[in-house]
Amino acid sequence: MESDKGLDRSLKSAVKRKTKDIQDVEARLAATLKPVKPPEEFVRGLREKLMAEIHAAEPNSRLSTKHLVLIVLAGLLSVVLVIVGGIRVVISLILGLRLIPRFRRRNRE
Amino acid sequence: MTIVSDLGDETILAQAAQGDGDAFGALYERYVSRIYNYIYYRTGNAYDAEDLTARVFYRAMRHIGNYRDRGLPFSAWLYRIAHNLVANWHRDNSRRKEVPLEEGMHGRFTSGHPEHDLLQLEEQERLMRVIHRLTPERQQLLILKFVEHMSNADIGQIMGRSEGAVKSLYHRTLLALRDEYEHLALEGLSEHLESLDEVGNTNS
Repeated sequence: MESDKGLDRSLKSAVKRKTKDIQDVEARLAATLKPVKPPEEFVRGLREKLMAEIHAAEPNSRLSTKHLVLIVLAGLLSVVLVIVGGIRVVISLILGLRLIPRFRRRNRE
Repeated sequence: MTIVSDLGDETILAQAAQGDGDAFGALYERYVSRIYNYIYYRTGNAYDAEDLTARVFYRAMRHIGNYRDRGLPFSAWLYRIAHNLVANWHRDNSRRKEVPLEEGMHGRFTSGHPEHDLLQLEEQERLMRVIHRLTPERQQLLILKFVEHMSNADIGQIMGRSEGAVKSLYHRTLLALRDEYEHLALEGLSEHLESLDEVGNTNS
């Protein structure tokens, strides 16, 4: 009986001690980890740099879109020109190699 | 006319994602101090805290168009960027000896008793050394809890854990901290006793 009571008491005191230890740790953490204020100069300076970068990026992105459209149009035009040129070459080759003699013959007749 | 800074995070975020500079500026004003604090306590010095805070916001600015709302607060996204940058910083500076928060702590104690202030400073530096020995996740938890005074639910959103998991991690962290702290105190005591012995030997 007596030993049970003693054990119970020592367990309780151990739990109490542990809780107190943890509370001590929490109190130390609260005293150490306090919010710090970033230097105002840094906060202002960084904001200005970020804003400058955002504003610098805006006209650039519009310009690049315009450039992209022009490049695509120029590309399409070049492709059309190449195709037309190719067709003309093929036609002139056909005419020059096979059809001209017949054409001449027809003309003579 | 609505002032941007009065709007909620979601609205400002949507505007910022479309390239609205003022909206991004409002988000910056709202979070710069919190991100700075987080990095300051993770790196241990103001110089790197400024550098990494700037990098966090540059990265956020470049990728805000890709930000997708998955039910997490915007702050969680920013803390994630900060967490990754700090991890890279630790990897790159792993060989460098860390100086724990001296410049920030010196101004804190002005009780008029220099000896008492010095003891408190030493105590807090020792605690910071112990905190820096913890895993990055545990450090993050302590900073969010004590510096930002966040609830377990909010911390859970940022860390991607449930409220119960945060509570459990917090308890384990306190126990680990207590054990480490006691260990360090004993180490310090034995070093002190050794130095006393050496002084005694030299005198004799």
